[in-house]
Amino acid sequence: MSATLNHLVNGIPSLGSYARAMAELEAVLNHPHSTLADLGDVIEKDPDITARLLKLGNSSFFGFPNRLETVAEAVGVIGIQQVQDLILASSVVEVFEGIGADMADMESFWKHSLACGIGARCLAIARQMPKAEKFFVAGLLHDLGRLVLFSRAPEQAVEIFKLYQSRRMLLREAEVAILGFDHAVIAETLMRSWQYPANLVNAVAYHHHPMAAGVYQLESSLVHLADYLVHAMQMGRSGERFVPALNQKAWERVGLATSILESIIRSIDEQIEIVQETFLKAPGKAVHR
Amino acid sequence: MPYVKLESLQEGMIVTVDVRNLDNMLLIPAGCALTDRQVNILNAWGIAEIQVEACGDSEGLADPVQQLPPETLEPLRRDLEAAFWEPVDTSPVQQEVFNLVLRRRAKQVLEKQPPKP
Repeated sequence: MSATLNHLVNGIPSLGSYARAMAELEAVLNHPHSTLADLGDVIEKDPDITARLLKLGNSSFFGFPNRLETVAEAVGVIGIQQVQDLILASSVVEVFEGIGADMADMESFWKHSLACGIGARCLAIARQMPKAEKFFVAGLLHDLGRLVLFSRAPEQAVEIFKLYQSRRMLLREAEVAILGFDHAVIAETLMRSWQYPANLVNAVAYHHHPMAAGVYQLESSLVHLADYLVHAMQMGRSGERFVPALNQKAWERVGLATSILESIIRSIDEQIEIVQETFLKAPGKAVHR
Repeated sequence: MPYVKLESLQEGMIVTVDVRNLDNMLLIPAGCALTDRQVNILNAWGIAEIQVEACGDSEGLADPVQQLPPETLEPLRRDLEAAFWEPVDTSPVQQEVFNLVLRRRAKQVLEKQPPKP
């Protein structure tokens, strides 16, 4: 089983064309005398990141009252972690760009993933989690393993879909029946090979079984709940036709009141369009200062 | 009594059910005529909607599920129920999510309908 897993994930680049920008950014961050302007200078070298950053920074996703005009301003109010997450998310979208329409409706797949990211972030904010922004990336990447399957094992992916469509079953059950493991295990293996932080890896790895996540129960529960909500809203498609079961213990672990759900659903509806535009469409001309 | 979203609440609306925060602290008692300050309090606590007395101009405020005729609503409800892997009444939170999503769908259907002459 592990040989197949390794075969699936070996050689998938983590950052694609964004690797250089990320490395330069880290170099500036590690320098003791670096300033926001220095960070802005590095980011502005990449017009794609600049445009995405300003677009997202000026959207309802953040809801800032004043228009952000420069990259340094955007970094100042959004935070460097969010900028790194933006690059990370853009890079993952880029790495898996080549998946054909015969394999999956990628627009719908990303819509589901982005909506899950928005939902996880909103739930984390409602739960007053520190660094709630990181949950956007966790939600975005929760079905990463399916992309690996589509791109690295398309024949097995077709076999899985055939089995799945032949009876009433969940897609991940069909994955286990054919492969011996599911998409969450694939994502976990890939993200570990990319040396992603443990909280992110575990939030994704256990999003179907959050109570098995040990010290990361809360992180994985938030992604689990966001995935459930977005499936229920039928916002985009991950390939799964059913709204999977809700883990009641995960809901209790998160400890929110049901009255919060309405505003979470509304936020997903309000933010999905701008987030889709930011990550999935070629950005417009960058603003340089 | 209809649930009314925060952005649609107006001063003077009569609250029909006690509004409490997550710690069960009473924020607004039932029977109270809503003030702007109370709406700000609801906003601060992240409360998305409350129950108020139906008023004359209730069409824009009423639950969209109640506005759909049964012949439109029932297929919508059945389709949505069939999409869930587990029965939707398995737990209160699943029931709440189902109701919210059904309401969202009903609203989408209403928005697609041509305006009344």
